This record gives sequence, C-alpha cells and structure tokens, in this order.
Amino acid sequence: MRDEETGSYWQQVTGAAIAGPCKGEQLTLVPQDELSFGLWKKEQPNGTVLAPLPRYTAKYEKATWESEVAKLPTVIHGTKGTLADRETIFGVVSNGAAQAYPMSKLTAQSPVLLDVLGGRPIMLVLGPDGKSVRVFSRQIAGREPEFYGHSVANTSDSWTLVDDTTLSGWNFDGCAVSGEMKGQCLTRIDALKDYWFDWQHYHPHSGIYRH
Amino acid sequence: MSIPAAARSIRRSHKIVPALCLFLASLATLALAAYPIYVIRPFREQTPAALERALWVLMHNKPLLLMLASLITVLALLLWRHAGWVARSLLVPAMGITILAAVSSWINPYEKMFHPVGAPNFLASNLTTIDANDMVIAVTLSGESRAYPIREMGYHHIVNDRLHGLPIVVTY
Repeated sequence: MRDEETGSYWQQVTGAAIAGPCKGEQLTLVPQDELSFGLWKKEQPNGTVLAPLPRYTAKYEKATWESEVAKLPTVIHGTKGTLADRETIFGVVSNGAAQAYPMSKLTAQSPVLLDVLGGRPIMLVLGPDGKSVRVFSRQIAGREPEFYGHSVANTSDSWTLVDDTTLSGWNFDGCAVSGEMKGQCLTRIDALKDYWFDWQHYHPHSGIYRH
Repeated sequence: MSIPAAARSIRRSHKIVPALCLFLASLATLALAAYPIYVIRPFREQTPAALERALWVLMHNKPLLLMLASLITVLALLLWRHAGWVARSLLVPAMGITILAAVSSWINPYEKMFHPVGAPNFLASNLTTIDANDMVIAVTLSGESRAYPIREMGYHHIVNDRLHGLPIVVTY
C-alpha cells in the first residue's frame, strides 16, 4: 500500500512501512474479526455494511472465489515437507512465538483446538456457523481450564462451549452465559487467516500445530 | 567564399556522433523509467535488497527524468540545424524516447489496476444482498460495528474509513 501524504510503501500483512519517509513506522492493528455475514448480523443487529460501488460491482469476487484461488500456483513456496502452499491456516503470535493452525483441524466434531503458545494457554474455536474462527486466551480467574465444544453445522442452537473446571457454558464471544463463571469473558487474541506459504514468509520460524 | 560540398558534408556527418550519444542517452532514460516497473512486476519474487533499490528509484526518478529529458531535448534542438539526415533520424527518436520516459515515470501501471475505496458508504444489514455464508471483516468500536464483505474487499483491497473518529484502513 502507498500513502498519499508521504508516498511511503507499507506492507499489508504487517502494517510496517518498508520504504519512503515513513520507513520503519508501524501501523497499529485494530482488533477485528473475520466471520460469516449471518453470524455477524446475529451478533451485531445494528451494525452497518460497506455498500458496493455500482461502477465496480460486476467485478467483485464470485461466491466460489476461495476454491478458484486455491488452485492458483504461488510465486514463493513454503518449506518442502511442511504444509501445502495454499493450506489455509490461522496464524497466531504469542510472546514472540508463532504458530500456524491448519483450518482443516477445526471441524464440527472437534471445534476446539487447545494449545500453549509462548507459554500462554490459548484455544482456537470454530463458531456456530462452521466457518468463523476465534482465538482466546484460556487464562481466566486465576485458572487455565481446558474447553470442550460440540457443534452441529447449520444448527447454531446446539453449539456449546464448556470449560472443564466449572462446566460453565460459553458463547462464541468468549463470555460465559451460564454456570459459575457467568458474566466473565475470555481475552481475544489476534489471529491471521492466511495461506501457509504467506504466513511462513513473514514468520520463517513459525511452528505448525500438528495434534 | 562558399564552402565546398565535401567540407559541408564532413561537418554535417560529425553531428552523427553527438546525435548517437543523445540517442543512447535517451535509451538510458527509458531504462531508468522502466527499471522499477520491471523489478516490482507481479508473479515474480523480489529479494528485500532488490525491492528496496527499485522502490528508491521509483520514488526519486521523476525529477531526474524531467531534467534529463529537458537536457536531451534542448541539446537535440541545438544540434538540429547543423545535423544531416542521418543525425536527424537519431535526434527525433532521441527526443521522443526521453520525453516518453519522463512522462511514463508519472504513471504506475500496477496502481492503475486497483481502485481503493476512499469515501465508503454503509448500509443497514437488511438493505444488503449479501449471502449469510459470505465472509466479512468486522470491526467493532464503542459498540458500533462495521462489516466489510470479503468479496468486495477482494476487489478494492483497500478501504479508507473513520470509525468513531479513529482513522482506519481496511485491507485485504
């Protein structure tokens, strides 16, 4: 990206300026979500949506864009024997340690991945829509519980997230809605949904979650 | 006393050398304009050092090319009167090429391909035709939430927005 004020060049993935008067400066990442529109509408009924620009609407991506792009070759490649270049992963950095969590490991049958990254207990959670993923810290109220989930695709009512310490029920926002912990919320952690080849390029020492 | 024809043609043919120099100089200016565009072209990996060099040239070559194009054009015009047809057939492309190089340095073809959104408009959810399964990037600040559909972001790649006074750039 190039800014109009100084003409400096900024990396999209990192937000760092790599050339020009602003070289060395860093944009601040704003907490954000990548989730399905249906789920977002439920969570944010008063939210607003970016309007399409009529002039360009015909050129917007088709609904099948992800499977189309998955077939394209990449210019740079991940290390041989690690993951496929276009494996979709969720990249997380914690206390300087980077890890890639393959999306294929999150399924309706096992919607929760538990891990300790950079000494921090975290979890990845697949949402009620079967598509959205959020990352949370598992440290809460002085404990580090393990969480279990169960969800059936397209029936969000049966999606449940439970901690093994108090058996409280948690929602996809990371807040307890029933049980002893009701009202408490887990801390969200930033994650980047990315292709492996790109994630590894920015995080050459990244590990891969293989459980 | 009129100058013999042979002497006249020797004087004119001397201008071929300076004309050739100007022509070669114009090719050099074309290379200077083309170099960064060549290095940063898509579907090709750049090492950090090569990228840094190319971007530096890209950010500094406009005034340099303007100066060189002016210089070459002025010298070519000064030479014109005394140049024979061979020299002139070098001076014309010399001027054309160097002016082309200077002008083209103001255009980045890769940027022309993209259309970032500078003044985004937003609709209530029930007024959009987005499918429930389409993914969006969502940003929520002070209770206000905005969704940027990825099928649209995949085209524009950049949206310059301001949410609760905070200037943000959404990029995909």
